[in-house]
Amino acid sequence: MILLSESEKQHLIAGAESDLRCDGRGCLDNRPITLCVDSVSTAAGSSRLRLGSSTDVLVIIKPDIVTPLNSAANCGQIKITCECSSNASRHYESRSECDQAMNMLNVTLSRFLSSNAVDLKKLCIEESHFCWCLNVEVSIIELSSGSLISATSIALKAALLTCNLPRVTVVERAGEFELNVTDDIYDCCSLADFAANWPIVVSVHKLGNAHVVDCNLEEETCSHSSLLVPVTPTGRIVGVCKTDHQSLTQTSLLSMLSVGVEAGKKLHQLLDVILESHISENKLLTRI
Amino acid sequence: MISETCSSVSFDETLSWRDLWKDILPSKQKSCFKRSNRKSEESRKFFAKLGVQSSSTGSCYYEIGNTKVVAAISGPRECQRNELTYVTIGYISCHVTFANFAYPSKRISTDACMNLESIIEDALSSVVCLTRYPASSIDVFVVIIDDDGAVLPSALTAASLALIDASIDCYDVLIGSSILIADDIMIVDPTKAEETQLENTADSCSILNIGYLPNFNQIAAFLQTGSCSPSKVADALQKSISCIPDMHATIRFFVAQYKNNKNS
Repeated sequence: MILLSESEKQHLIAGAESDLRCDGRGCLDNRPITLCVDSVSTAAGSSRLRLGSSTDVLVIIKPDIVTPLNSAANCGQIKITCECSSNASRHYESRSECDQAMNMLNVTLSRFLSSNAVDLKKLCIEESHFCWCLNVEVSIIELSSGSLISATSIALKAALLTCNLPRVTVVERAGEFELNVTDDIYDCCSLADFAANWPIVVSVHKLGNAHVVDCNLEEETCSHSSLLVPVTPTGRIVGVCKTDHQSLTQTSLLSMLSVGVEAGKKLHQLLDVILESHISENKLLTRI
Repeated sequence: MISETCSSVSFDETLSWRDLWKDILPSKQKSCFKRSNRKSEESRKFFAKLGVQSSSTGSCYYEIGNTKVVAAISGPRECQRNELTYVTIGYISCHVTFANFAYPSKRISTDACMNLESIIEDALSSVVCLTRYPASSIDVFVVIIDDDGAVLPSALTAASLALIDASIDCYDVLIGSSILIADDIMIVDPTKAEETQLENTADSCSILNIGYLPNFNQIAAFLQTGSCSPSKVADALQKSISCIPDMHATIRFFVAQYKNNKNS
């Protein structure tokens, strides 16, 4: 939240209603994204996403083999932890902005983990004995360009699509199960199958009468209210939530929802195109 | 009923009785879902009592079916946050806890509480006239005693009634409602048992929780859990809102009764 005068707010809102935002975009246009995957050598999957001039998120995935929970013996587990660097916000030592952002992230990510868009059965190795537990660490390096949750969900999906787990075989010996991890560093299986249906969160803000996607911090401050829409590639919604401080009419809510779903589907297609070359390269590596 | 442990009947032991009887059992069990005690578009009966807690500024006990929620308000008091945004307007902070006996077999994660807290804070910010409480914070404490479905809508309604008891200026009363969408079925105000049954049998199951302002016809809180297709949301929203005017009339009656008792 930054301080804006009333005239600045009126300027932003009037511009959005005429489909013209401060940087020349239309209401439904996204900012260019810079995505760098597989850069951290100690992690199985990683991605770093830069949006606008100063929203920077790093997602790292480290797998672990654990015993499945009793209540879900054929499912794997995912644990997501978020942390925020101390110079993430433009104010010096502003813990409250960082804490707010982290709470928001934790809550949004936990909402769609419990839905059936995320098929945890694919992470199971041997029922009731072994399963993968993906420890996902999200580091917020900077958050001063707004749209943090959207950026994090794209980075998370990119990290999962390019994540490579070592190939593991289960051998049964006299009733006991043993795990053999392959020695070959190129013999791995990718999580692209598991992450194919992973949702991307789009946040749609209401500025006056206009519905705006991918807002920067100034636009988020003068927005009337916003809708967080996690969309899967097939167009299903998995945990929509209305945030921010004003109430919405039924028609507004439904039109913001449809705007969010369309924007989400476009982002999925974009991400697939960007990562296609990387994923096919990985498949070549495993054949060697 | 063929018992699997019965040894005098000779049948292939790898088949279960369901396989043998599957030609006779109805194949589409999910479309046979019917509620026994109320219609699919009817919500349960509820009860609200204001002023149940003596040491807080305002409080309310709200019960719908078997779900029981208590909300208490403390404030307005000096705002703990130093940001300049809160000099001219007030700030609502919410703390949600689940009673230890609400779920004896499982631990509630802090994420579940934070989820509810953020939604209740945002919803109440649109209901309370925050410009009348500059540089102040209003603390809302919600305790969920028993969970039988519709926890978020009950918490929203209870908090809103507690605000009325605390005589805090509000634009409208906030009434919560929930609806479950499972394949082709939509049922308003599902109980926990109905939720679990449809989650296990249906291909896709989703619950919409809504906080509604009846005088303005606006939505102050909206949370969708599970996975559903966006085309069903419009219809589901309409159905869940349709039972709110009756709830509003009953709530006005409860509030009037409480005010009369307080005056006399």
